[in-house]
Amino acid sequence: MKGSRGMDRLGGEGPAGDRIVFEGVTLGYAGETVLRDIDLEISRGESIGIIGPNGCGKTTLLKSLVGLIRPLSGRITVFGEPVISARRRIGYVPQRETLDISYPATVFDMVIMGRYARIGLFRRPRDLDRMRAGQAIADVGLAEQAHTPIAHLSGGQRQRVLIARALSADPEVVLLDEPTAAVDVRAQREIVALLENLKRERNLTVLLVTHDVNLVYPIVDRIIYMADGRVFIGRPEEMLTQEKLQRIYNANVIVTEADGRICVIVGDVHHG
Amino acid sequence: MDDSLAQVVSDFFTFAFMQRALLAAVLTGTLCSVIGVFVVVRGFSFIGAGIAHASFAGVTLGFLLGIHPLFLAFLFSLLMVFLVGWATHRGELKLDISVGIFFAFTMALAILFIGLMKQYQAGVYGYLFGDILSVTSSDLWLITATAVLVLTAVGLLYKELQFVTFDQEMAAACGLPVTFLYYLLLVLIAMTVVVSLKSVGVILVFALIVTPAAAAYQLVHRLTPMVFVSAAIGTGGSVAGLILSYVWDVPSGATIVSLLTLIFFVSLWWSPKRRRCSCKE
Repeated sequence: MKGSRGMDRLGGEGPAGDRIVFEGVTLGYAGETVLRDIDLEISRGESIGIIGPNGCGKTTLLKSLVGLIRPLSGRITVFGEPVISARRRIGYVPQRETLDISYPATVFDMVIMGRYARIGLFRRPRDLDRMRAGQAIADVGLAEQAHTPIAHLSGGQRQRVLIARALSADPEVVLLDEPTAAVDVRAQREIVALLENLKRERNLTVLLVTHDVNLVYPIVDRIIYMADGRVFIGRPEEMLTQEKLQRIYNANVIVTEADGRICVIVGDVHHG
Repeated sequence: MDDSLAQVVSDFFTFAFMQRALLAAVLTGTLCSVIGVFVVVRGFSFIGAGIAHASFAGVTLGFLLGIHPLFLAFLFSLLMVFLVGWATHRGELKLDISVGIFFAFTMALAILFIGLMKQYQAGVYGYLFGDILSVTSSDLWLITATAVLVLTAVGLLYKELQFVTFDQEMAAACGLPVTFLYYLLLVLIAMTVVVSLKSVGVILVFALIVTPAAAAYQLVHRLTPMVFVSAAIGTGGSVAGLILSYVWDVPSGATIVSLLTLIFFVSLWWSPKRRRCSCKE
């Protein structure tokens, strides 16, 4: 199998202006290929979960959509525009460890930074910018902490601030890199519920990197699975089958159901 | 002491060199402490120290060739900025390693240039240790013009510098010109270092940049108040240090830096951040 060719391409209907399109894209660093021959089409309003082993290229794929990594070959367009000009339509939520909590900034200071590119060079934030930042903070449930230094927030609250910063620029697409990692179970549930609400209220297209299939399964329309430099996409019930997961991970995988939810358990790795 | 202070006040009104020194203390104190805020929050302390030492190689070459020392100091500082930036981006070297290499190399050059001088040049040591009382009118004009230029750039690009020093990758993802802003900040640091050499010298200039900002960081939780508190500490400390050095007849640069360090320790002790940590424990 080569890239995602021949796989399910749901969302491929409609004009290119309503889709995120990867055409024969190869991604990597300094000549080293991480993902090859990616062909993907994601429709406006879709939610995509991205899963795969560590180092398989999940973050690389997200970064390619905001221009932090340029394709070694191929072409990426976001709603008909090349990535560089489409960046203002995309809100990026990086991994929480990248947040420098020692920086002297409050929640509001950090969230309004999401609008700085929109405001433009040499210009000061206007009332509209402050209002949008305030709205984004309220949307993630941190209105009372708006003037709290970021160093004083809990792990779950910091994750919400990162999401609010992405939302403050009124994006059409939100990319989230492991938003439920390293927070407690309650905070994980709250973040997933928050994403569900935001997607519904703002009609966002969501690409979400996660290690927890079970947690995000209810809110994604399709799943991208990555392994060995390849990208596979399909509906959750199609992708989360024992046969496909074993082929991708080259390991024993048990897919079971508990309390109406899919559970994926990866067992021994195959050798040779 | 009272007589001494009255004498100092009288001297400030009587002697032009004292007025120039006071003005230089205010300008370099403000300039260094404002740019220092971005140095501290971005973690550029070591590269700043490297720039200061690179500038000394320029000063010594200036004396050797009979060219204005500050012109070559600025050229060497820029060279340091772009070599470090290039080595970090292209050679995949960590920033501290590339700074460490060029820091030592430029100091070696400075020693080499001093060795090549046919006669003893007292002026070189003036730039090494600084002498604010010897600031001339043309030095003062240079400091003023640079302060206006650097502070205007900081004012105009404040929000961009804030974003890029907070989270460079996210600033890039949002579409800000981060490479331009990265080098601009380094060039502004280089300009600040070079014009402060005459007042506080190569060895102490970086303390004037880092210490007021580090003290301010202990006291506030936001960048904008940090800029103002740092400027107040830097300016106040520089003026007070100048007066004390005159009263006690000791080197001005060392007195200013010692006073600023004392303020830093008081800030550290008084810091609401430290108290919060203690409460948590």
